[in-house]
Parts: sequence; structure tokens; C-alpha cells
Amino acid sequence: MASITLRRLVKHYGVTPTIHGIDIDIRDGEFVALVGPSGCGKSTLLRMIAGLEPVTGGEIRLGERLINDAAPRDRNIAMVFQNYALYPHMTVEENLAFSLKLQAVDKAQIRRRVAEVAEVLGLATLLARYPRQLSGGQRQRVAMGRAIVRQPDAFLFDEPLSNLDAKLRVQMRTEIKALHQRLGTTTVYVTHDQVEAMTMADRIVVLKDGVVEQAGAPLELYDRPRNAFVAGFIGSPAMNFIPGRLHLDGTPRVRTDDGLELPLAQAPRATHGHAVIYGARPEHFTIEPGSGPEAEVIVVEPTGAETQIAARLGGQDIIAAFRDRLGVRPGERLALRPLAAQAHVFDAGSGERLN
Amino acid sequence: MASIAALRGPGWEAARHRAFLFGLAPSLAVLLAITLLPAAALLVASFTPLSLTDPVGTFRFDDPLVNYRHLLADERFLGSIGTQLKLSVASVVLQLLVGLGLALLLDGKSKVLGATRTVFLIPMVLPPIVVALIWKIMFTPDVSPIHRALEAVGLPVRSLIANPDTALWAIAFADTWQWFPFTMLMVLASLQMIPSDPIEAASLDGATRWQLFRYIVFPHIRPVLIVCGLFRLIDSFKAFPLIYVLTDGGPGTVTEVTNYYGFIQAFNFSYWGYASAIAVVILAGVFLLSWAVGKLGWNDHDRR
Amino acid sequence: MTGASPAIDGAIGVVREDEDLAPPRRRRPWLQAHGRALAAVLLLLVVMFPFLWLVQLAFKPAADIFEDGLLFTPTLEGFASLLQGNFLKSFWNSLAVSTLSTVLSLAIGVPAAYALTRWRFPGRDRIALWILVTRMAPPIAFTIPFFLAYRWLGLQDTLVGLAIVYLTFNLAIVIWLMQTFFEAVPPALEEAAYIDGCGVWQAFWRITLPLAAPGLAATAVLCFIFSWNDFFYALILTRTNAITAPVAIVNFLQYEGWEWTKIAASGTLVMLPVVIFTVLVRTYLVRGLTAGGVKD
Repeated sequence: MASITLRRLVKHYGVTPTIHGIDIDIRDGEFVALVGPSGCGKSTLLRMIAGLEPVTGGEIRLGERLINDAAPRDRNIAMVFQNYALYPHMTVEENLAFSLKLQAVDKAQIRRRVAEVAEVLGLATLLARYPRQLSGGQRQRVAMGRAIVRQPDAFLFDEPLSNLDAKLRVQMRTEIKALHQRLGTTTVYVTHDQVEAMTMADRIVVLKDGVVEQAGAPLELYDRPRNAFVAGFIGSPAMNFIPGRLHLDGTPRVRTDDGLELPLAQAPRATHGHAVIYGARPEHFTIEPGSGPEAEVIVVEPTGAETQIAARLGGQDIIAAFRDRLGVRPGERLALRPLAAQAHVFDAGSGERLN
Repeated sequence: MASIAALRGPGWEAARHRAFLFGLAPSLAVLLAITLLPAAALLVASFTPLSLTDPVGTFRFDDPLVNYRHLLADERFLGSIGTQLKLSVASVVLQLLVGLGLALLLDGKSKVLGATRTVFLIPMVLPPIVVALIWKIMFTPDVSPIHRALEAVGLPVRSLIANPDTALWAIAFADTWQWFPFTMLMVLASLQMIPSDPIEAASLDGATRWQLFRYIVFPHIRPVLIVCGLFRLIDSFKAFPLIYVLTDGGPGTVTEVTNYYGFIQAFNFSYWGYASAIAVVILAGVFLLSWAVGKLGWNDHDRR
Repeated sequence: MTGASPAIDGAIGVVREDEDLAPPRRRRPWLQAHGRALAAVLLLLVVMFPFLWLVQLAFKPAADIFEDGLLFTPTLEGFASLLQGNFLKSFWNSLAVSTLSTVLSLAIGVPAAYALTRWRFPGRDRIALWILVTRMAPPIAFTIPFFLAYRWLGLQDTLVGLAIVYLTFNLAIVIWLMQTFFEAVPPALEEAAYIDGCGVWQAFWRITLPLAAPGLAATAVLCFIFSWNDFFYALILTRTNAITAPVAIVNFLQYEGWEWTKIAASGTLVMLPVVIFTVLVRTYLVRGLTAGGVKD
């Protein structure tokens, strides 16, 4: 059990820098998700923590110990790979027992530990099978079992669910989260799926191009994204972005070039006329007849739990989502209006949050 | 990816590279000792008139190019180069034709075809000495069934390997028999990789079998044929057992290829210096051809 | 006018435009259907005739060799006569040298092949090329220096000396072939092994090598075949002690007169291990014999 600290971490491939100085503090027992688009460096970071990639600059500490130069086997961490990386020529039992065998743990104890872990993960009847005889979900569990058996200081997950079908993914998400609650081991979880991150993590670190965009609790990132990138990355369906100019004469609002006026609750930290981007999440729209221009409904997508409406409001394409079943049809007009209290304002140039 | 300088680092990557070096070093050391060292020794010996009749006395460098000058004037040597080229070209062309023909015939899914493909491998894997024996029997009129059959039909033929005009062709024939499976295998592998769509489309358009071959199949297998040919050409410089058993370089020196001439100089006459020079010339030829093959980019490991 | 699917077409009796009305099977001439296979088998018999003749000659009684009849009572005389003299010893020598050479080549070459697979260092390409070129060089270039060196080192006419010389071609084969087999093992498996507690060579021994085992077996067989088949090096570098089978046969030709039955019998025996092994590893044979000669 240990904390993981990354300080000014830098990574170069040859002369190409890919990670530009990252600071992350992971507390002992915390579940931290690293998310970001492909190429943002999240897998590289994970592999550096595991010791599979060398560190070009900066420090990685496990607890108090500096582990930059430690071999993977000396770090007491376990990793679950995207493609499971189960040893094809060994049975499930042998796969689970492998690390213990290398540590020369006595056979009786190995059998006991393996049986325990197999029990927890529902693998007890599969111990004599080979990986090729298992389903995707079963293989995933063996990969996790292999990590658990070692009782390491930290778990590292590298997009473990991306090879599973949607239904299985949801099921495994819950299982992994339950496992974390049960074992309490520090966990670093890399994924490109922000839903996974939101539902599983204690804290999320959003990465882009080798830099930390924002780190914080899921709801913190959801409610107060630090910039437009994080705002657009977190939340599904994604936030609507409408470019315009800030108008502070009278009630603060944002006005697009086509004259659409979008309401704000308070004046943000910027001058009148400043070029900004107005952000409104699909779930933060209301229908207020008579509040202004009406939107033209283009597509209606009922998912059962909610109704998503793609519409054109004042020349802008937006998506709004409602819990209620609306009886609208494409081509009809709807008085959509974003909620001022939930609106976000970002600087048009830097993307930084202004309110 | 790290340069060799990183070998001295403190981390896992450096430790890993050191471990790899440890695994690679014995091979490199052995290869150095048994290839580069002998090659260097060969070169050195080629600069001396070394002879086993007086090894110490003849190991001198007062006239380093004596052997090479001698080679240029040596008619037997120059003749052997011509013989080598004739034999190599004839063999390789025949091997390509026969291998290509058989590959086209045997390209199919039936079990019979699969079994025949396996049996056709045999000439290539037989010990070369056994191949030489087989053809010694075939070419010796007293015991050869072919000769006796021809005689019985009224077309007696004299021994092909005793006849200066036909001896080289006899060897080329035996060599083709031995090595055609190589080309056959290569072409078969290449044929199996031709995508079926263009062939189906062309068939539907009304192309004849010949047109299909000429415009679709042949362009696809041409690179394989070229590389096969070059590869066999390089290998043909090694030809030995056939000549040793069938003709011993004769009649006269008609089938004496450069390789064989070098062998005679070294082990019959014990002129080691001179034989070394001959070997150096052959080696140079092989390097040139290998370089040419390398230029064609067959070393696919590097492109991964 | 066709329907939406063959099923519907069939139901309403429509003929699709791109379908031929195939004639009933009975009418298609057997020759046309099986012509290829027939031609293949006939050609096989013609091409393999010399080979088959040698094998049958080994079983012919010596008196019948000059007879024309194809029928004869097979006898093992030819093989029995081989038991006298040097031949049995030479056969054993071939076995010993081929095994020794194979073991040596694998022991030295397999770790090198693994290192070359996983380690991309500057100059790697040039080394890979050098390794391949060593296989292409004509034996005459090596025999002269080796002959002289062995006289000096006392390795002349020894099995060990021969096995070392065979490294000149077998090492390259091992390194080249095993590289392809190691490349097929996903590096992620080795990474998992590193995390589980393995060092580099531990992971190799426990994970990579077991997964490449079939390739290792095929490579071993190829090394054995190439060693077994060698004639030139054995001719030059052995006398009476380490003489191998191919060279011993030639002695029958030169020193004992042309005893054809004996020649045929010894030839048949010498080719036997090779032919058996070939059938076992025919899929890998291509790779070994071309050693990168053709682009995949």
C-alpha cells in the first residue's frame, strides 16, 4: 500500500518530447483515472510508473522511495494489460501462481492464495483451463487475478475493458470498482472512455499532448472544467460550444454573430466585447416558450432513459437532452434555452475558463 | 530505443540492453573468429606464393600481387570463369523454367497435388553426394537404365559425361534436377498470395489462360523469380560434389569451374597462396551478387 | 430481371444473369476434372525415376546389376557388405557431428537471435546482413584457412573441428530463423513477466522460448540436415578418424572399385534420415533454405 508521486516528469522518444513535465499526486488507496484522447501520453505515463519505459527527466516515487531506476520486478506493482497478456502455454492456475513461484513461495501457500483469489473472481472452476479456452470476460478476470495474487502496493490498469463488448464492459466496471473498495489498494486506471473514469475514479486526471489539463474529483471536473478541452471531454453527450462575444451592458450575456443571445447568471472575468465560447451541456437546457427565438428540431433520438434532440438554434447546431418524453418531431419548432446558472464561459483564444 | 551509450545507465532499460549484449556477444565472437578471421587469413595468404612443399620459405610478401598477376595470365583460370558462368547461367535458367512450370501445374488444393508437392522436394534435400551418385549411375552407359533403354530402341548414345561437348550440359541437367524444387516452392508460395479478385474479374471479361498468366500472374511472381535466380546464382558458385563425382573437372578441363580449379590448386598441387587468390576472386563475386540482392530489399527483418 | 436473393430467384424460377447452367456431373469428362492431378503424378514418376532407381538398385543382387529385367528378388546383400570396413563408423560420425553441430549452433545462436529481435541498436542492420552473407560464401574460401589452422591446432580429422566449421552456415540459419519465431511472440507477454518478477533471460526462458518451441524444433532439424549433407568440408578436413558418411561413400568409388550395389545401398542409407526429417518439417524448409531470399 503506497502513494504514487510524479514530479516534473518528462519523457522523450529520441529527440521528440512526448511528456512535458507532469506533476501528479496519488494518495495511498486512491483510485485515480488517467484519461485523454489517443496520443495524450496516458499509456506512456502508466508504463513509466510500471518501469517498462525509461524516464527521461523528473521523479517517480512509490511512497517515499524513488523508483526511477528500479526494474519492474523491484517495484511491487501489478499491471493489467489491454490485451490481458495471459501466458498462453500455462493454465489459469499457473498464470495466477506464476509471480509467487518466482518468489519461491512454498507450494502449499501458493495453492491457497490462488484458490482465494480464484474464489473472489469466480474463476474456481476454470483453474485447469488454458487462456484460449476462456471468454473475454473470463480472461480479463484472470488478468486481474494475476495482479491481485501478488498483493502489490499499487494496481495499474491499461485500458482493460476496451476489448469487451458494451454490456460486459458495464458489468466489469462495477466489479473492478467493488474490488477496489474491498482491497483498498492504490489504483491507477488508464482509459479513453470518460464514462468509465467518471463512474469508477476517486479522482480524474485529464491529459492532452503530454500535459495535465486538469485533475480533480469527477464531479468537480464536470461542474467546473478548467478549460474548453476538459469541458468537451467530460460528459456525454458532449457540451455544446457556441462562439460569440461577451456583452456586459445590461444583463450579462453572450451574443453570437447571428444575434442569438445566451444568458449568464453573473458577469465573468472579462471585458465587454471579449471573444468567448459559451458552453452549455445538453442536460442543462429548458423549454421556455416566449423566451426568445425558437429552435428548429432536426433529429430526435429517444434512448429510453432520455430524449436527445439535435436542433438548430439561431444558426447554431446544438444538442439538448431531456429526461421527459417530448412529443416533438423533426421540423417542428421548440423554444430551447440554456440554463444561465449552469452556463460556462471560456476564452475564445486560450480556452481557459472565465466564469 | 536507446543508443549503445545508454548501456552504462543505472535504470532497467540499460540493464535490459546489457542483458541483450550478453546474449549476442558469443555469436558475434564466434562469427568473428570463424568468418572474418579466416577471410582475413585468406586475403593474407593470397598475397604470398605459399606452398605446402616449403611452408616457411614460401610465406613471404616480397611480391604481394604475384598470384593475381598470374591469375590474369592463367588461361586455365580464365577458362574456368567462362565455364562457371556457362554452367551457372544454364542451370539457373533451366531451374527457373522447370520450377515455374511445375509450380503452375501443381498450384491447386487437391490432396494429390499436395502430396506430389511434398515428394518433389526430395531432390533438393538429398545429400548432394547422393544426387551425384544417382546421376553417375544415370550417366554411366553400363548401368544406366536410360542408356540401355535408348539402346534397346535403336538409339545408342555415348556417355554424356565422357564427351567434352556434352559434359557441361550433363552437369547442368543434374544440377537442375537437384535444385528445381527451390524455385518451385518459391513460386508456389508467391502464387498463393495473388489476390483472387483481379483474376476473377479478368476471367469474367473473357481473358484466356495465357492472357491471365501474362498480364496478372507473371508480373506478380516476377520479383520472386528474380530473387530466386540471383539466390541460385550465388549458390551455384559452390557446386562441387556433382563435378567431383561425375567428371572430376573433365574431360580435360571442360567442366572445371573456378571453385573446382581452386580446389585442385589447393589440395592436389598444394599451391595454397595461388588457391587463396582464386578463392578471394570467387568471394568478391559472391559479395557483389549479395550486394545486388540486398539492394532489392529482401532483408525484410529490417523493415519491421 | 432478377429477384432480391437467390432463394427468391429459385422460388420463382428466375435464372440469375451471372450463373452458368452447369452440365450434369456425369457428362464432364473424367480427364478434364482430374487432368492436372494425373499430369502431376506422371511427371512425378518421370522426375523421381533416377531417385527410385538408386533405391531399387540397393536391393538388387550384385549379379543382376547389368541385367535389364525390372523384376528381381530383393536382397540385403548390398547393405550387409556395408557392415565391413569403415562405413558404419562413418555413419556414426555423421550422426555425432550433426548432433554436435546442431547443439552448438542452437546454444550460441538462439540467445543472439532473441537479442536481435528485441534490441534495435544502431548497426543492427549491418550485423544482420553480415550474418546472412556468411552463409552465402563458398566453402573454398573457408577451407583453406581452416585446413591450415587445424593442422596447427591439432583439430584436423576431429569431430569437434568439423562441428566448429559447420557453425559457419548453421549459426546464420539459427539466428535468421529463430528471429522470425521470436518476433511472433508478443512483447506484452514478456512485459507481464517482467512485472511478475522476471529478469530478461528469465522471461525468455519461461515465456518466449516455450512459445517458440515448434520453431526451435524445426530449426534444429534444419541444422541437422545441413550438417548431415555436407561433403566439401568433410572431404578436406577429415581423414580416417572423423570421416563422415558422404565422404566414405566416395571411398567406395575410388578405392574399392565401382561396386554399384554397395554404392546404391550406402547412398540409400545416407539419404534416409534427411528424407524422413524433410517430411516432418516441410513447412519450415522453405524458410531455412532461402534464409530471407524472398520477400514475404
